[in-house]
This record gives sequence, structure tokens and C-alpha cells, in this order.
Amino acid sequence: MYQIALKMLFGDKAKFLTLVVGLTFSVMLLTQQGSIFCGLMLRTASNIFETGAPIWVVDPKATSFNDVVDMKLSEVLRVRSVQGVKWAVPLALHSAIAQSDEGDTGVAQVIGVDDQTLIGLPKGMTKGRYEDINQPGAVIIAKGRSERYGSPQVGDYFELNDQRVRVVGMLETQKSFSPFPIMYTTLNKVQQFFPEKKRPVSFILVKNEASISPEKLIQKIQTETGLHAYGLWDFVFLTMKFWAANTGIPINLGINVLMVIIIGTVISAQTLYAFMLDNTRQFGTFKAIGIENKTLAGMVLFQSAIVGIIGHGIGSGVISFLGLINPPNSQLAFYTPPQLIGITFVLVCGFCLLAAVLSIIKVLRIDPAIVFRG
Amino acid sequence: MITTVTMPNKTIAVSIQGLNKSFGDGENRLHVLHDINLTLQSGSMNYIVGPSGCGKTTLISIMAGILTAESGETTLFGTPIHQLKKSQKAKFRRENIGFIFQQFNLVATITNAENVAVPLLIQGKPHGKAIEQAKLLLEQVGLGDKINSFPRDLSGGQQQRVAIARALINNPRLVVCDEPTSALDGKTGAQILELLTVVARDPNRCVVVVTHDNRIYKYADQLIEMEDGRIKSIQQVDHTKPSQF
Ligand SMILES: Nc1ncnc2c1ncn2[C@@H]1O[C@H](COP(=O)(O)OP(=O)(O)O)[C@@H](O)[C@H]1O
Ligand SMILES: [Mg+2]
Repeated sequence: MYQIALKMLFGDKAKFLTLVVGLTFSVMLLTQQGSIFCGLMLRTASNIFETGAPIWVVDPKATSFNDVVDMKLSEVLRVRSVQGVKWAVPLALHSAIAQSDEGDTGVAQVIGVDDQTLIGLPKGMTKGRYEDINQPGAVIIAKGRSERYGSPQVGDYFELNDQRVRVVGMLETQKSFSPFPIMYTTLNKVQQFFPEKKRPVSFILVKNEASISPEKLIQKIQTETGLHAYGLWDFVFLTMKFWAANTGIPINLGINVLMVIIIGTVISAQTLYAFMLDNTRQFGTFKAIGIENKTLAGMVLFQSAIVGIIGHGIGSGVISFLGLINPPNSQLAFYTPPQLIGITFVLVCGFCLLAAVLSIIKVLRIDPAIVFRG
Repeated sequence: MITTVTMPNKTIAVSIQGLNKSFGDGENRLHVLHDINLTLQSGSMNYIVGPSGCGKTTLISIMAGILTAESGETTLFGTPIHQLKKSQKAKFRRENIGFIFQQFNLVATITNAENVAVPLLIQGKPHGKAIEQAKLLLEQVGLGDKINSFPRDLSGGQQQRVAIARALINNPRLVVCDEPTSALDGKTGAQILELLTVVARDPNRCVVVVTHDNRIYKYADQLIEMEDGRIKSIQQVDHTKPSQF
């Protein structure tokens, strides 16, 4: 009877379309809201991705990339002494005041990378040369975030914490969630810009030897140094959690998602229920002929599952496609991870199950005696 | 136990004793069937006739186990179906009863062969086998060329033939037909009843046809006349005398 159920479903194209469209729109809305959430969250961690180190060591009180307790330079040496560490380099992140010659002022975030290795300096230089960062007063600025202090170009001078600096390169970086301009320089210069800081190091970036897994090394670093160490993704999630907890984004998007869930449930339940009502005479005939209740319930469940799968496929397909054609660094924060597709699938299963249960209750109550009535 | 006088070599298909049925409650209560007693034999073709609203549909609905009576006993082939639970009744129906409806009640979106196969599929037979059997039956009712088309491609008379094939595919011992010709024109209706007589007649099967088409009583063995929820008369039709009606 499942083949019959399938044909009953596909047989009337118009009705089938109504069923699928309702669900498709719900899935599209859900996926879209979810993708924006994921996109925004990903942006909170864009600096971590750009730096790209596999292991991040921080003070135990650090709660995210944007909320760390700085460390002494000697901590780097302690981490280096842990067996299995291939390299360990400092990375500094501090806020400074940038001011152009015209007097435009803004807060900027200064990231200082290790002078020797330049590890942590993102790829994607559009103008200038990486080597020039070692010159006195040299900074590389992340493009598109420097309007507040006069949009300096390569070769231009401006002031950072009252010290003269020169732009030696421009970087095309990923969009970040933090609105502050970011510029890169070396750790030595960071110490010049912030002479009062006795603890200049914010993060220690670590790479494991091939002989040890990152997970094992993380454990070792923690027990031997008393510092906290995270894998790249763990640190990403920690940072996402920090922003989620401190910005209200999850609550606000969550309300949208909740509404979409309610609307989606109502739409799918209602259209599926209407479909079953339309087929009352057919189901009544099957009942008169003597169909078992479990077969009848199975048919309805099967029909709603098919609608769910197709609706989910189209809905998440369309949104994923829109995500793909969205330029990577556009204003629209949009990222559709496979997990999100999984979550919406579970939700759709929920909608369809509910719709199916309502319909099954209705269908099982059909009186077979109606078949002899006009 | 019910004791009924049996004719030699004939088995009792349907035995109804003291049947009463009413609809509604209180002021709106409508007593539709009054103390019906009826016995039908296997191998016989029975026509139930009478004016609209006299209770014919109600009677065959109870007889076929899709409607419950208030009192009385309904025994089909020795099984007291009034004692069965809903699920047991459904099982009994799918194994023993064929249905033919005034409105055909075919599923529009499946092929004619699939429509015919429905009772077998409901019994859990494999799809392919059920369709094979359905094709044979469609050939028997003269629709061998309409196997893969859909009910909407057929005339009313052809649709009712599909319904006849569907009613017979599970080789039922009782076939109930409620006004199978009233949605058809006179000539087509007569053809349908003739076809029904040819294909459904079987020594082990009892056929019950509700009709008010008085031109075609000639196919009946027994004519049951109803009036106001009662059986007014039961006549045996003598096929040796031409055109009794
Ligand atoms: N489900 C029902 N509820 C209330 N009244 C009904 C119902 N079914 C039938 N009736 C009434 O019972 C009477 C007999 O109906 P029915 O058996 O359909 O007669 P027939 O088939 O001979 O025309 C009619 O008066 C009809 O209105
Ligand atoms: Mg009737």
C-alpha cells in the first residue's frame, strides 16, 4: 500500500505542490535564520582563523579571543620547553588610539606577531611587502577598517598611542564581528607602543611535533605550565560562546527561529491535514475493504515523511545555494554548516510527525459507513 | 444459537435475526430498521428494492460489517460478526467481502490495475503479484486494454467495471452493491448488472444488490422488498417464466 500512498501523494500535482511549498518555505526561513546566526558567530572568530595556529595557549582566566589576561614573555619560554612543541610564538592583542595628521581619531586593535617568524600575520596582502613589517614604526593595516583615522594608504604616516607609525602594507582580511579597525605589527614594536605593559603577550601560538597529537600536547602544556590550551576549533567555539553570551544575538535570532518553527508546524500540519481530508472517501473505501489501522497510519506517516524530505531538500538546497553565491566578504554574514541542515531536518521531522499524528487521528476516525452515502 | 431451516445443498451465507437500528438521540431519534429477519444463500443473487429512505443502505452496511446494529444478530458464513471487535471485523471484511458503490469510489491518482489490486494490497500481497491478478480480472470485465490508464480516462460504466473487478479480486464470499447503476444511464446500468451476474455468480458466493431500477430484476434469484425499515416481501424469481417483471 506504500506505493499506492506515494501515488496518491504525487498524483494530484497541484495539491502536492501546496504541501511541499508550505514546508519548503518553513525550511528556507529556518535555514536562513540559522545561517545568519552561524555567519555572525563565525565572524566573531575570524581573527582566530586568519592566524591559523593549531593550538592556542592563554592565561587560565581568558574567556575568549577578545577577553584575555595578558602574560609575561617568559611564559613563551615555559611553553617552548614542553616536549612535543614544535614551535611556540607570542601574539599580542591590545587596544590603542590611532590618530591621523588631520586629527581623526579612533580606537584600533593592534596585533603584534613574533618578530622572527611573523607567525600569526594573515595571508592576503594586497599592497606592500610582509618583510617591511620589521622596519621601525611599520604597521600593516587590515583594509576597510581604517576610515576612523583617515584611511591611510601604504607609505602614509599616522599616530598610534602618540607614536609615529608608517603603513607598509594592506591586508584583505575576513569580515570581523568586532567593529574596531585592526592593524598588525611586530611584538617588539607593540612593546614600544605600550611601554607600561609588563605583560605584553596575549596568546601563545603553538604547533605540535608530528610525533604527538594536538590533543595530547594540549594536555601536557596544561599540566606542565598551568596555562590553558585550546585546539583551534575549541578556541573558536569559546570565542563564539563569549559573543553569544554577551550580545543577545542568540536570544534575538532565537525568537525569530521559534516563530518560524511555530509557523512551519502550523503550515505543514494544516496542509497535510487538508490533504488527508480531501482523501476521506478514498481512505473510507480502504477502511470498508478492511485495511488494518496500522497500515493506514503507516501510509499517512509515509506520505508526510515524503513531503518532509522533499520540502527539506528543496528548502535547504535553495538557501545553501544562496549562501554559496553570497560573496565571501560581503556585508551579509551567512554560513550554512552541514550541522544546520541536520538540525533543520530534525525540526522538519518534528513538524511532519506532528502533522502526521493529527492526520492519523482523523483518518482512523473515518467511519467506513460513509462509503455507501452520497 | 440461531436455528434456521436450510435448503438441501445450500449453505447459508447471511443470517440476520431481530435486527434493529436507529440513528440519533432523543427527539431526533430515527428508527430506521425494525426487527429485520433475513437469510441469504450462497450461490444466490439477491436484489433489495424499495423506496428511497426505507433503510436499504443501512441494512447492507450492517450486513457488510461497516455499521453496527443496535440489537439483533448478523451471522456471515457461520461467523457472528456482531460479536467481533472492530479490528476483527476489518480482517473479516478484507477476507470475505467485496464492495461495489454507487459512486465507484476509485482512487483517481492510481491506475485501473492498481485500483483493482487494492484489496490484495490491503491484505499484504506483494505489489507485483497483486497487479498481475488485477490485470486478469480487468480482462474478465472487458477492460484488458485499460490496465495502465486511470479512472478519469474511463466512462462511468467502465469505472463501475473496474469497481466490480476490485470487488471480486479477493474472491469474496459475500459481495454487496449499493445502487451500482444509479449513476449510470439505463442501458449502461443494465449492462453492468448483466456483467455482475456473469462474473460474480459463484456457487460459494452470495451477491446482494440494492437497486431501484425495476427494469433489471431479471438477473435476481431472490427479490427482497423493503418499506419503512421493514421487509415487506421476499420473492423467489422463477427464471423459467419469461419476463416476470
Ligand atoms: N448516519 C445517519 N444518521 C442519521 N440518519 C441516517 C443516517 N444514515 C441514514 N439515515 C436515515 O436512515 C434512513 C434510511 O436511510 P438509508 O438506509 O440510506 O435508506 P435507502 O438506502 O433505502 O435510501 C433515512 O431516513 C436516512 O435519512
Ligand atoms: Mg441508499
